Amino acid sequence: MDSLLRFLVRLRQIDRRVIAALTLLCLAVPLKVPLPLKMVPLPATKKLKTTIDELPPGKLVVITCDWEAGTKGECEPLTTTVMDYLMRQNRPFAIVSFAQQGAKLGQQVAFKLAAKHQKEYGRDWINWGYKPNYDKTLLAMMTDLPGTIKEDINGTPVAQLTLMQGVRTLKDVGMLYNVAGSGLLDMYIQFCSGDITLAQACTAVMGPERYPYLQSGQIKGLLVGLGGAAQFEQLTEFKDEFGNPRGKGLQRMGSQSLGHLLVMFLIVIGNLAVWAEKRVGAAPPPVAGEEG
Amino acid sequence: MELRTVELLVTLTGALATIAILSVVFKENALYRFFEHLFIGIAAGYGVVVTWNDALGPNWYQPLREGQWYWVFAPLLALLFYSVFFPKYAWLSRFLISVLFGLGAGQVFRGFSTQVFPQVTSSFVPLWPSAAVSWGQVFSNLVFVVTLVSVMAYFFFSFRHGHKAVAGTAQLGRWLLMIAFGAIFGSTVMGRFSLLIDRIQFLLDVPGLLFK
Repeated sequence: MDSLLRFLVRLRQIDRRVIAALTLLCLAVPLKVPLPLKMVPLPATKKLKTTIDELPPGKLVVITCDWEAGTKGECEPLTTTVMDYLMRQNRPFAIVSFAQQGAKLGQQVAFKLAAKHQKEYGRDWINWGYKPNYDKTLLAMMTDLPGTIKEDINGTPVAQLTLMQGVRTLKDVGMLYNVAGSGLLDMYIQFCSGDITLAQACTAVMGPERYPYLQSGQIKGLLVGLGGAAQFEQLTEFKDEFGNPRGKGLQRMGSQSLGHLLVMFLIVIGNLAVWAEKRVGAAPPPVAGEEG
Repeated sequence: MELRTVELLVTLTGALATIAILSVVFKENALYRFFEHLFIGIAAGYGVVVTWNDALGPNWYQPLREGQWYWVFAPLLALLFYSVFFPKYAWLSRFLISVLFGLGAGQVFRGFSTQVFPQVTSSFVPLWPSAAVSWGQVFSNLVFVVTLVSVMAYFFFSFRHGHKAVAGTAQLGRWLLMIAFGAIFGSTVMGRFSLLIDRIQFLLDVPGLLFK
């Protein structure tokens, strides 16, 4: 018993580099050797699909790409899966961003998907570009959309684009799908909910805070993190450019699951080590960075 | 430069930058610090260019060049913010600050009502089964109401939680908050892993991108 306790105490001193290597292994292996995991779509994900399916044909959908390179790992799959579904359903959409890199990153996703589905810029989708001063711009878009946007990302006046016919304010669009890696989500609820159909996708960190808005009906669909992207891919039978039924969400959920198992294992080990430490009366190890 | 060469250079630079930034896990090193500074520099530079191209250029400089001369006053007004550095003229900045405060206050008032009032109305949920409400829904609603009341009791600081019923409810609220924090922690782990998985996948795809 004593030797087991001392072994457990020693586990508390595992080098952080060993933990990093284990994490790397757990995350990398499933990317090459896929795990047979099946996602169960949550009601929030199903609601988003229903909302899109119930939109009147030809109605413009606005996708706000309020994310940057720092949250690409989550927000890119969340953007891709919904854009892909919109293209498959022949639903036109416009990209706009209140984050500096968002418009360009969203455009990269759209160009790849447009090539896959033979969609044309200006006819099937447009990019309004990055807009500064998010709150004032959004309020202005609610009353005069072409006057606020003026030009698309290529400098073409938006009033000339066929996709914009009949769209005078943001209230004329079918749905606003907001993908955010920042705290801009509240702004859309403050200025848009009630007037337009609003759906959101966010990083997993912000996910738990968004559910009350779904319950109150202020948003009509919610995707949270990589799991949300994977669920939507499964629900809409997403296929990549080679016809494989695996988008980035589903592809990465194996890594995500193994990673979580590792974290849970380490939490248990850490707690056991602290318990053992108290039992044998050993001194706790020095805090990292304070050695010597 | 050929498109393929540019693609190769971008991929290689991306791979090198990713490895350099991740190398801090092993040890703090000069390569990591170099790429950290490079990233901050590029992000700041990109910000300046985007601000000019998408904000100041089309909304201020372009109209000015087209003859709307009154736009010349916009930067002069904005410069009043810097009067705070000169005590004698610091009062000039108050004009701008008060205008912005007024705008902000109005906006917040409108935003608060749109954001919070529907939350209040949606918290009135049926607690008894009917044709439209199943037992399962009633159970969910009960959990919701108990959580709402107990967490609000925990944050009620106007008087001491002397009575056992109030203290117990507040204690339950505290435990329920801990469960919520656990859920947020789990989501945070998921979020951070997602970002790392993206980079690992990029690194694993690099050989394929280089030799395709």
